[in-house]
Amino acid sequence: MRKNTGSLIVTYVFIAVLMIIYLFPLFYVFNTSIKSKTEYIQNTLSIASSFRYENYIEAFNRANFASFIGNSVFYMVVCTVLSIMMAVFLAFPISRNYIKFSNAIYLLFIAGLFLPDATIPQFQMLLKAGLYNTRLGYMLGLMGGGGIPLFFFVSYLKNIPRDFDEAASIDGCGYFRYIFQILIPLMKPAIASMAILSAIGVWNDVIRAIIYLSNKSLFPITRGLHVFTGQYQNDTTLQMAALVMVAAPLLILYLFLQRYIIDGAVAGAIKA
Amino acid sequence: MQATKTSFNKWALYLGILPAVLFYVVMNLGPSIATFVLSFTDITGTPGVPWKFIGIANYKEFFFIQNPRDTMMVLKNTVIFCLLVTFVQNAIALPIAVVLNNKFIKGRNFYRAVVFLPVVLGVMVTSLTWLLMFNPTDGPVSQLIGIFGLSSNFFADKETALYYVIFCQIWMAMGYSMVINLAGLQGIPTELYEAGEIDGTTGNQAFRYITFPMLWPTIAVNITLALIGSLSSFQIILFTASGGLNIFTQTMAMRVMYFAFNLNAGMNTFSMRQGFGAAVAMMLFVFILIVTLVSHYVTNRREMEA
Repeated sequence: MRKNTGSLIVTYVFIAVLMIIYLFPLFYVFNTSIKSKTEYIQNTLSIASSFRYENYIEAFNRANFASFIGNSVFYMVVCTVLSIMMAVFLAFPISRNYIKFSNAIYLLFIAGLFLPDATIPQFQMLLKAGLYNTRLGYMLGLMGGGGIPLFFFVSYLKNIPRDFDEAASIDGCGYFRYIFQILIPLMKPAIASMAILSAIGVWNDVIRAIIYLSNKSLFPITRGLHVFTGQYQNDTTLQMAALVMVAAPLLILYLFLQRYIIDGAVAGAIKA
Repeated sequence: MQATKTSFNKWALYLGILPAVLFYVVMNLGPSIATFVLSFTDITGTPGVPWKFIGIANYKEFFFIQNPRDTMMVLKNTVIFCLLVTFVQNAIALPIAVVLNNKFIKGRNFYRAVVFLPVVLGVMVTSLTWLLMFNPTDGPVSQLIGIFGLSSNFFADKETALYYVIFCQIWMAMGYSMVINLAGLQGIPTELYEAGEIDGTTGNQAFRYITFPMLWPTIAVNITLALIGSLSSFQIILFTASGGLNIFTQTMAMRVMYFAFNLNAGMNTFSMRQGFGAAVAMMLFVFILIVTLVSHYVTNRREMEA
């Protein structure tokens, strides 16, 4: 495209407006979170006169964030590790056509994308199994078995030569050892993408936590934020401090692992 | 269906796929189909309460027994939400992607990252952020429109609340459409533009005759994703406009959760009517299926013409 001063100005104005719409709200949230309550009430738009980190300490303690964060980390690790492992062990034989009906199994998983929402019967099932309001029930409801990671891994594995499989198995390397010691290291970028997306999904979940958990001591962080903001409706500065604490880990993760996150998101969309 | 030969132990391979297949069948596939069955029952979310098959009573109730104004409102909201989100999100995401794909733009990676950020931050952060922005008494938007002598209750205003919710949805999800477009744009061979330049095409012509037709399959994916996504999304409605309390912002997806799980601003005024919720979910499923097929047909035809 050739450079043309007029259109370049229009372009930059367009970008500037876009940036204001995207960045101002986030800046405003942060600014509110470091103000004192009176400062906020007097003028919502004023720039904070000082960094009131006390808001953060107060919100952290009153919201009981320590327990929520602990829960979230636990759910993230378990759900992510299990769903990635299941997807790897399914994707490998399917991508290589090592098992009978590979295509049929693959299609079965794709069909899941076009079926009715499963939430209600899932809930009934976990309720009957006595798993309502338990960590296990929540994670079962939250975890995906296959889906995007499966599609992503199947296409990724097609780029890893089959010769590796044969060389390893002829040398007497067992199947599970092969997957853990050779294949998984080779799949690192793909696994990283999917693991980060899964972890973000668990961190951000509120709905499953509302549906499956009633005991506050089991709540993950974003559900905890939901409860806290409901309780402290008039304490905007504390609310925003809590909000920033929930968003900050995501932001940091995003800053460092942006490539993986976007690759995963795009690949998921194109495959689906 | 003959499997490729391998020297790995067959049993190990089958043992490996077992957890995923079992999990999928029990937790996803089975329940998905069971939604259809439960839609003919009066099952509730309370354990131990007996339930029975009641035929198509749930479906009848949705269309004929419940306040017809509510039903019409929900259907209308569903259509408005779906069409506006899909159209506006794509109409904005396309120029953004084209501009931010341009090498002349300094800092384009930063701009891309900013637009994609809300996708990562998620629905709760987005909702709380915009609830603050749209605070009717002293929020920034309220003060901004106050300059022009306007005022609004935003998410509490029955006439316009839905549009503010739609705005939030688009703000949150547009980065997703953008990165898909960007991936599509990077797949267009640069030779096409070079050839065009030799032939003296202008920037607008290049967009119309090269970029747009080449990107069309990507745009079609985006449209389909936005249609499905907007029809099934309810979280942004729940957290910004308190979902259930305000019929003026309810869509079908929100209605499912409202009846099946009492999802509203925290009021438990009736027991969880999951049979009825399942019936609404089934209708929504049929609706999504039709919309997806139509969109697939239309976008494919466009592809043929292009």
